[in-house]
Amino acid sequence: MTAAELTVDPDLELVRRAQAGDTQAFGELVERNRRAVFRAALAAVGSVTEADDVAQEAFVTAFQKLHGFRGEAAFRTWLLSITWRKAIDRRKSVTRWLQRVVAPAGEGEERDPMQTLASGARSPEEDLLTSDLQRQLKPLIAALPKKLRDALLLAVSGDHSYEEIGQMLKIPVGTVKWRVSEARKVLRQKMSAMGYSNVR
Amino acid sequence: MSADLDREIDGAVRAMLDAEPPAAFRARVLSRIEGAPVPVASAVASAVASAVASAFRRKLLVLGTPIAIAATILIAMLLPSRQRVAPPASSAPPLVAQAKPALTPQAPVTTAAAFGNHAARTPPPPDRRARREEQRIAAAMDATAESAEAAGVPRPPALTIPELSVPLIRTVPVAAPPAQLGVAAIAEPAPITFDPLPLSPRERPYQE
Repeated sequence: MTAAELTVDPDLELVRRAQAGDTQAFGELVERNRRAVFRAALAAVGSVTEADDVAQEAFVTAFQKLHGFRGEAAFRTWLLSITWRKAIDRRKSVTRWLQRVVAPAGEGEERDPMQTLASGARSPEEDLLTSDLQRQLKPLIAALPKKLRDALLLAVSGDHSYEEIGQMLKIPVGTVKWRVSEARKVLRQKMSAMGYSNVR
Repeated sequence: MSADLDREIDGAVRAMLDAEPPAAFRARVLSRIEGAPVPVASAVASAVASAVASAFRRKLLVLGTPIAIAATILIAMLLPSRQRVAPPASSAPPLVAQAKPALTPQAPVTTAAAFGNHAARTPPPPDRRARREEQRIAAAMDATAESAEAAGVPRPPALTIPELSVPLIRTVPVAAPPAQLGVAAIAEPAPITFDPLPLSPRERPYQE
């Protein structure tokens, strides 16, 4: 049992009320966890619109299955597991694949949503703050193998603990750490190959 | 420098994921849960989403229609050829009619007959039965003749099945009865005698 599990779940009281049919209590749970859920979905699907949709679906599913929640894990971990499952389903969905294949190039939409996420800053101010190295790194991060990329994005986002990531990806914490480290190593090698000789 | 790069990686990842859930997220989730009317912002968002979906459907339609037409034409072309390949309806009557031309029809035993309905048990009039039988025999003979003409080959000889001959099993008496088994008595064992062991040097002082 981890230290996170030993501590009292701060959402538990709200969960009990929501289980009793109090939708406002569930609304409070949504408010508390929406950011973490949305970021997890975004890390998987790479599109803000789809992440929003996945996050909503995850909350609705969580509400429908709330009576089955026994409190063995933290509510947030349970919710994030649902979110990740929904996001991966979306990532693998045939419709999404078809949309990417059928959409003709040159309509301002890139093929891979993760590449869209990696391309450029959202505002001129942000563009000024972003260093050249980060601009080079973003497409490399988007092009990482999915296993490494997922672990890196979730770990570095700052919204999820290693334990939560392990629960979401259904892998041990050690494997999460190894994947993050491996992702960093691959990025370092690629940057070195691009001419950034002093980055190792 | 490695730490610097790690910082840059962290910064790049955070910049990639630096997005907040769209406005009125909580309200939209609750409206989906409660089935309440969707807020205006959400309605606009869903309208945009449906527009994207309809554009996607249009693309699918443009791609899918020629494929569907081509498939229909292909099926239409293949179907008649398949019908031609199918064997034509045989003019000869079935083999049953050839093999059993002299069978007389049995009056069907109906449920009504089983309950004692005498009218149902009544066989058809003799002239009708005879006429039907004649027709059947004539049809069978015609069919036999037609099939013989069509084939142009002599009829194969009738198959004969030789009777199976099973050799009789004979019982042979045993020449000599088995010798009787006997158990010989075992001789009594000789009495066992024990000689006392000589005393050890330690025991000797205690000897009386």
